[in-house]
Amino acid sequence: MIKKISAMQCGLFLFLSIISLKFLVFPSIFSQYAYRDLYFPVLIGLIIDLFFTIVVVNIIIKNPHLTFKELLTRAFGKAFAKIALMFLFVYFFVKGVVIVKETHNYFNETLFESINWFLFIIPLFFLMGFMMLKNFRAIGRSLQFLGPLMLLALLFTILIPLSEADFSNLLPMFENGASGIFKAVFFCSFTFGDYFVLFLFMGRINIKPNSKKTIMWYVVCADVLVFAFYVVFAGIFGNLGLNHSLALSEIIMHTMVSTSTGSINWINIMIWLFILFFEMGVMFLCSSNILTQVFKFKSRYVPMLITLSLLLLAVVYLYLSLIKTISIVTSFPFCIFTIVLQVLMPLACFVASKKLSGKNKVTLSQVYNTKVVKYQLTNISGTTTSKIFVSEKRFVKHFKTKTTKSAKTKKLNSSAKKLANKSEVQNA
Amino acid sequence: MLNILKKFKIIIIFSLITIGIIPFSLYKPAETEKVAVITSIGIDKNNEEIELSANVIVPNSGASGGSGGGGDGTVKTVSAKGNDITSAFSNLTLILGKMPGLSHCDSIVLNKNLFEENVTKYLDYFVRTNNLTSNATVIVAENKASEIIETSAAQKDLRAVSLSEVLTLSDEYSIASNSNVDSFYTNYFSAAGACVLPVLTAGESNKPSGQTKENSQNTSAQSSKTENLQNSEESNLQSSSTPKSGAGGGSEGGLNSSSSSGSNSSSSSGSDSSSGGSEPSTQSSQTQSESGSGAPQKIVKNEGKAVVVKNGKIVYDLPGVEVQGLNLISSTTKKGHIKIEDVTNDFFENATLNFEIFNKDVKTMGYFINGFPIFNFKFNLVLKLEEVSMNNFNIEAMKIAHNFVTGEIKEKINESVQKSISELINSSKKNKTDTFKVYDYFYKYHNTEWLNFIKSLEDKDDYLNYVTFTCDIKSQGKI
Repeated sequence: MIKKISAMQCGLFLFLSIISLKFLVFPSIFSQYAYRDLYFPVLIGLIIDLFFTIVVVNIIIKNPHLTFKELLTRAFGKAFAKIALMFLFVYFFVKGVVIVKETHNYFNETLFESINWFLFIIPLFFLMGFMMLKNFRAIGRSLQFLGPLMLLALLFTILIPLSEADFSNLLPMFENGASGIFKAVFFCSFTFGDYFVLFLFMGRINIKPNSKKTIMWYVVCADVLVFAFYVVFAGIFGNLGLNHSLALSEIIMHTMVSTSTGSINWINIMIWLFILFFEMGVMFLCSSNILTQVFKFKSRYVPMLITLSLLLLAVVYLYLSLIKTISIVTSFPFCIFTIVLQVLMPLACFVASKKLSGKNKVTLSQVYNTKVVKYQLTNISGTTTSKIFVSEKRFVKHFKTKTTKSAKTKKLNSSAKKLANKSEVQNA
Repeated sequence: MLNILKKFKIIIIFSLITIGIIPFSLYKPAETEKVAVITSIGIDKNNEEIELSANVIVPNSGASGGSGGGGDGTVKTVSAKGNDITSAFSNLTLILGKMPGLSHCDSIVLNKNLFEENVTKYLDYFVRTNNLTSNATVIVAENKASEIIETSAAQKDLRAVSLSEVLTLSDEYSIASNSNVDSFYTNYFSAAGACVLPVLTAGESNKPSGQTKENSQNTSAQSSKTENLQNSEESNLQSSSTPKSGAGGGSEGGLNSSSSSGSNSSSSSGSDSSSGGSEPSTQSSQTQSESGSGAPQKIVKNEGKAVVVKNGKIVYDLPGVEVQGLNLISSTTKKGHIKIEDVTNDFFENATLNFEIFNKDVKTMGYFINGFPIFNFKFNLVLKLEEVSMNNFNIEAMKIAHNFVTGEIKEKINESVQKSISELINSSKKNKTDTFKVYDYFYKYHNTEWLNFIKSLEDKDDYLNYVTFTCDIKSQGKI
């Protein structure tokens, strides 16, 4: 049985995705372009993301049983679907690498005077490998547990420095013109596109009547918290935000309150470590999941090892230099790639969904094994209950091509027949 | 076998990782063996060379902290020289045999002569390094920064550690435009460009125990050498624990240790050091005077001084009455003192009254009238009568549950406040130093009008002379 995640778990994944990358290095990057108006590009980015999130969620609800690959395959063909998936892989992988490097900096600057590279990377590899072997539901359940702590850490990070924030530092608005704001949106576009995780959950969410509301609630909460953080950051540092590379730790350490909250700050740091590890894990899990979908690996170890090997190569090449990594993801060609991807992906899904609507709508039975066995059970008291048995295996049928009876199909048909016979015997 | 491995794979892998990492952890030397914990830094310049002095905490498991004085405790002062801050730190590394760790550095003391050229040249290292994780306080040394660093290390109960802690605690009692690295740079890059930094000196302590009253006289005598004699006496009355601004010097009966500054927010001048006896600072000064039998010891002195810095250079030294004015204007300074003289009414006869500012609320507002900027201060003061000095007391003057802030007293209080502020305003206008951020205010809230106004001026730096300052004071007594 395909293990589906609940709407709450999906919302939590989105929440985690939204807060990833936005709390460490990127506030200073935003500040480089927009100075004290750095919360404007963040607001613009979040609004655009929210729009696309709504689009994708609607597509999911409309096609609850179709995965991203199936949707694109049926609409545009296998090749298109695979290319799209590979682009997604690159996106998730690079995001994961950036988070790894940010975490390394966080360890180096906040927690330790200096940290041994190997002592950092080896346990991390094991942790990432372990998380990649799990499915989304397991991680989702962990996030449900971590959720209140995440919220607490975020609130602590925003509320504690609030006393030191001078919101007159936000004035005057648009001091350096609007060009800086749009430059910030462009060059920091990689921090957005958080709805991409939804593509991995397509066809894997247990859709209920209030699922959309649940998911959107988490998205809006995350957006509000992110925006509030940037406003507080601008209030505290003003134009000098570009000098503070690790916003998460510096925003608290530069406030007077930290001297008295001391130990509480450490709790906050520990929770943030968990958040960072989960962010990394989710990104690499998405990457390995995509590899499984594209190359149809039977074992989960293979995509896990491939992803870890690529991570090792990336980390060795970049030598854990955050500056080098950031310079790549904020370079002009990469930003063009990111923006095109962020627009084309939901657009492709939308067009595919439209194409598969109406007469061409893909039904549940077309996605799952067409052999459906209905059997009845009669108990001692004489009441009868009926159940529908649906084959656990699902396979994609090309929209226009004829179905070919593979060995698997034959096997399924034979097992369904046996069951049907059994039920007839029982009825008899 | 394989089945067992599969069944317990997670435990096996976890055990392997733990076993692999254990040697690294067990045999890893303590961080303090690789990193020297620096608590405060002093920067001086001799000719073209920079001298860096640092207070380093030396972990000492055996000896009790601070015993014996003179830096034999757990804090030692180390100096290194270099052509610039980076090379000085490199040399410091060689001397210490460890990497300098600035995570616990909470104060940076700068020699006054560094401000002859742009001081940001010397602060730049601290802004860019990720070693300095806290927002260190910036202090100006009247003479040598190394002297202050050495003196603070020599003082008991880890004075070096709490040097900035005391300044932080005194935030409510000082001029409290935060004199830390961040705020310095915020002011530096702002349009106003000016900020106020506290000044500390290191000098000989007063005579040993039993002579604390003489100490206060000696210290007062010492401070009389400066131009700010009257101002320091006034500032003694107002806000005694203001190491940031330097106001409130002479607290604790003249024992102007930095530690005393945190403990005497409400004491008036002339009080004995024993008056704050329960405070650790007073304990330290008492212990010093006890232990230093015969030999005067050096202590860090807060003589109520501050300097106005604009674009990284000192413009002028802020006298005590102006410091009082800044204290009054500051929205973060909650306490202070106001002294009025020659009061004669039903209760007093030629009396000198000292009021404690029990609560203060200041609102600043700027607006334009006919194209000219008006900057208004609105004070709401709650005052408590703290001390009365007159020749003939009558029983009526001993009332506690009485609001004395009425009539003539109220007028005199208002005059005193206005005088302090007007001195500050006149100084600021004369020196073109915008210490109350008039430019920033109008730039933020009346951007277009203000920029048009600035454009209309011949000398754009001289805008303060065209701003009209007004003051509304509402004072009441606290019962």
